[in-house]
Amino acid sequence: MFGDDKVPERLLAALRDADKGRILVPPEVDATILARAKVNLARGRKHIVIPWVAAAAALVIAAFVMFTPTPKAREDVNRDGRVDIRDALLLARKISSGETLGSIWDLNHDGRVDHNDAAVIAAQAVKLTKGGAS
Amino acid sequence: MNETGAPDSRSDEALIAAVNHGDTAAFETLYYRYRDWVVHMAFRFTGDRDAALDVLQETFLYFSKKFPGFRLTAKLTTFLYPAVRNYSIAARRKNERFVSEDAVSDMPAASAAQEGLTEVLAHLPAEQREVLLLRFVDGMSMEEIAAVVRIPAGTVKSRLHYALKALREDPTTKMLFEP
Repeated sequence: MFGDDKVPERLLAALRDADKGRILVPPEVDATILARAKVNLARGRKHIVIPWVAAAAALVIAAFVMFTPTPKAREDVNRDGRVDIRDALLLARKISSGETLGSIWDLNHDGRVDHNDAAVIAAQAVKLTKGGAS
Repeated sequence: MNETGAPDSRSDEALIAAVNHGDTAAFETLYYRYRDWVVHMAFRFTGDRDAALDVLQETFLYFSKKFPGFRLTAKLTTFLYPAVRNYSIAARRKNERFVSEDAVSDMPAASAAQEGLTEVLAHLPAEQREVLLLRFVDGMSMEEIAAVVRIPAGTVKSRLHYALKALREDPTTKMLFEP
């Protein structure tokens, strides 16, 4: 007696025989299927390449923005990346010490480097408007 | 073996990895490796040569759209079978034909028992015949059948049980069970 998972060889052979219809696939069908499949494969690769290219471009731009040094403001005397009252004080100190300063520090363009130039930085640091608020 | 006759001994996994890297020749190798199996299964479902060829095309186009990024987690036939089955069912509906009358009755019968078997198979519910052939002709395990047909293993067992019961009880096929 056989269970459901084991059947006589005779039945197996008969089942295989009943199922043996073979279809020959014409070469033109092969060619058509493979040509269309290759189009799909190429399209799939294009889809995967575009996001990579976009991501790479975004990375390059981000790196450029992050690592390209921004031009420092002349007023940033101590080169700490911002213009604040410390820059005004530092320039004032340099002027007071009699240090020879280049025309780059002539911030108010009056032909001289003096405390008025330090005042320009101070005004910028506290964002005072001309004729300023009290 | 590919169409040019050059053997390609690479495993399915290796070929799939190659296709994922843009190697279309590897896809061609997979096509020729599984083409006859796919068309045979499609014919089993549809009973129609032209419909089987259509299913062959649909199945491999569906497969090609899975790349790049396709990952083989089981046998390739386990992946392909549900596609063949679904496309076959769609083709059969489209052609308004019934596999029970067509697919099996077209097959040659060598003896009275064989003829009886063909007849009994033709009248078995399609889902029972499917499980019976997957188990004893394709040699799939119960678990594999459950996976490809997407039914619980218990349902596979019960369909197989009723299919064999029908064969055992039919006067024209019961002699096939005699040792």
